[in-house]
Amino acid sequence: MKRRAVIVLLIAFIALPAVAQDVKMLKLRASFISMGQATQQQRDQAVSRGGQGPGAVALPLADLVDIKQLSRFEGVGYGDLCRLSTNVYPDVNSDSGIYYYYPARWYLHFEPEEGGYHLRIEYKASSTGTNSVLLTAQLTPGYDQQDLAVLQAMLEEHLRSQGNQRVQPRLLPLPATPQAEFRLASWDIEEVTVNAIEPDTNTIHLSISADVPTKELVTSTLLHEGLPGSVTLVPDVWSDLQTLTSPVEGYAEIRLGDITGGPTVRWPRSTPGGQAEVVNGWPFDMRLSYLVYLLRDRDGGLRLRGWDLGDRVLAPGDTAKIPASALNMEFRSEAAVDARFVASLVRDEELGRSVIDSCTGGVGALPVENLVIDIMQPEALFDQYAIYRVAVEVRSAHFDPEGREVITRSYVLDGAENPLTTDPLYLWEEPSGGDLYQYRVGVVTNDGVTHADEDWRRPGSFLPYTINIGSDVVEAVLAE
Amino acid sequence: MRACCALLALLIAVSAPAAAWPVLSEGRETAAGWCYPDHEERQVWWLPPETATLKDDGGRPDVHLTIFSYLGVRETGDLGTARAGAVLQFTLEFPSAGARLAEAQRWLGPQAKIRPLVPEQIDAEVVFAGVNSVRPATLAEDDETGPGAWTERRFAMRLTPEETAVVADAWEHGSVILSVNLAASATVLAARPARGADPEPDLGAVLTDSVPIAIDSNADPDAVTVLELDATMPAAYTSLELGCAELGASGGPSDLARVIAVVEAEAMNGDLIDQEVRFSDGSPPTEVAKFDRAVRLDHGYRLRVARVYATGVVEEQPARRVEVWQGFVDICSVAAGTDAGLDPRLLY
Repeated sequence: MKRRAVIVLLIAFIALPAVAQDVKMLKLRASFISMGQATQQQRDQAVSRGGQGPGAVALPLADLVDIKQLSRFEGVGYGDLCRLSTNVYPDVNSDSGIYYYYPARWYLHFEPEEGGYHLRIEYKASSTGTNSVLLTAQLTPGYDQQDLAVLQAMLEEHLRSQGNQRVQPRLLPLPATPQAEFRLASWDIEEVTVNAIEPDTNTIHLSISADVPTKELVTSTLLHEGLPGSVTLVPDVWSDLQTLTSPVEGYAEIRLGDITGGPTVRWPRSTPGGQAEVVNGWPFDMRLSYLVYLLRDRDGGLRLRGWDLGDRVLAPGDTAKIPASALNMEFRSEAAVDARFVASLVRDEELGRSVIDSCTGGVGALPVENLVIDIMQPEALFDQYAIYRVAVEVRSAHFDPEGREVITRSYVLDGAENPLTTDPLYLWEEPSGGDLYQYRVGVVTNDGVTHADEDWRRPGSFLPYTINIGSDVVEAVLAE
Repeated sequence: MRACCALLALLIAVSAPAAAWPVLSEGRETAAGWCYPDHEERQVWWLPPETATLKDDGGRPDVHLTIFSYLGVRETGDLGTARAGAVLQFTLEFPSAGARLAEAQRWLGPQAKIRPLVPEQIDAEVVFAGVNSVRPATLAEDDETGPGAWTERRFAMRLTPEETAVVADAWEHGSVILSVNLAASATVLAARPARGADPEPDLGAVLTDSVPIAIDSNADPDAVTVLELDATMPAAYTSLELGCAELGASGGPSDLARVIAVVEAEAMNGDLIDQEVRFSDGSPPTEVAKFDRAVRLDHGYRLRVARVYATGVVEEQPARRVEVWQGFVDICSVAAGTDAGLDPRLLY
């Protein structure tokens, strides 16, 4: 077994001072409810606060809010700080202070604590048709309360910069029905079925049927550029005053190795031994670029501060330890809106194929086999020994699907239908390790005399589901 | 230069205000690009995007070309089936307008309120260098997408065989060059209406641009993926042809009644499943063991053969492990059926 490495990270600080301010946290609904109930609840929530529906003009907060020092963190953008769309729609009633948020992107869902990727590739029985491989996947927008906190901070900062702080802004989910669509004709996929979209988490469940070569093309694509799709949010129009009636479009992607499909890598809540541990729960190498925190400046404005982690790579299962003493007090102050690691995954062909392999299954051995009775060269055998019929008596608990009782069955053969396929044997595990069945052979000769085994015979080791009857058996029976 | 135009049309929605339209005829050029005054609010100026850019994907441009081929083999029951193609994907995004908004503010004065103008519709046209066929204008799967505002979008398009050949050749020789021509439109007023007249808003171009894309095989080898699907397929509903001429060739009475072969392979769930083939007097010289459940091609199979005589005596040969799926195995010949050391998935 691979030994897991523990790496102590030396960090370099990139920062300037700032000041504290309270951050209003919003709670996400956790219960599973229907889509209709969800939009009704969203609507009720808005109406109770004087909302009249989202307005048509979105506020592009990423354009309107300047986060100081963001450019000092190379490669870090707004999308690394917030998984929600940074476009928010104000309510048409500006006095309500309501702004509507929505998810921006959907990724292949990964949960390290729950078995990894929500991706299954199942080879079905081929008799079900040419598209014999079924691929099912779950996509998630992956945002949490901290993303809402970041969006709230950006919204408040925009309103502050505009001198518009009459009402404390409140973020509510955009009342809209998501519709996911994947058109994968370029990959020879005729149809992608969206089985469900969970109203409370916006998790998309989809399935794709494909033949074997197409499945191979699809899974190979998952390792590289991924399969694109779109999620259209159709606004629930519930007021004549509402001006947002056009759909809002999100982006979806089925791809391995996208870190946004999993939980945001955060600073742990506790630091036992004075060290914070970050475990790479992904099956890919994780590259840690920065530990950043978004700070409200004392005199207003948002600022990004943090530490350069030097793109240190953690192998799957490895742990990075960061001494808490290396951090400043500000990092854990109330002025810090959110703290998170900026990390990415290193896609690797071999690891990716092993991930796909672990997500792949199929129909295996069927738990039933038919018992076959095969007479060797029956015509010659019947002639030579003047046989009229051969009878075989079989006793087995495996004739019963649950093995509750030993069942005895008899078969009479005239040699015409040979081999003879008889009844199924259910292959439940034999606790005592005994025989699958036992049998006795009887021979009725043309003169009407019946000869039969006295003792039960046991199945052979080769082809245990076949009873072979040749001249040796017949002679033995006739000698009884 | 010979060129092929492949038009990807898509509609996107717009967050246009109920009655707030830029007036194109009164636009002013600033260091941040053209700005257009609102038809009602004198202080409001609209700033359309200057261009779309190729998204950065972990330090490299987000453009990928997948060239794939598949050749059916006897084991998979589709001998002679050939598939080939290529899929081009790239992601365009509108960069943050924050700096441009500030720049426009400086040009238009402190009283001006600059607002980003989000396009309602974008037409994208892909032009490959070296291909002279013209593609129908609405080939891409995204062209029927309903309206919806977006800031980034993945384009995916299946290349024609001609395009695939040219692009694959260009890749082998160093680089693939293409460009994406963009035309973005929004609801605008061409000119301010005369006093007392109703405004007549209409969709008008607010951005035309060309995004050049060069995929350099040396600088960005990961941009192109070449897939030989038949070589990497881990599993298939495989079949194995088994031959035995011993019974049919005896020409007369024989003590040998049966030759039975059991092919044991690993299913995708790890189970061992087997297929049985029986040769008896009068059987054709070849029989096929066909698995109706997918088995792993990369784990080979185990072959067990037994002769059953007229006496009923079963004479089992030692089981053989065959690492590579062969198209044909002669189970009655000692010499035949040994591993040839070649992967038949690549041979047929």
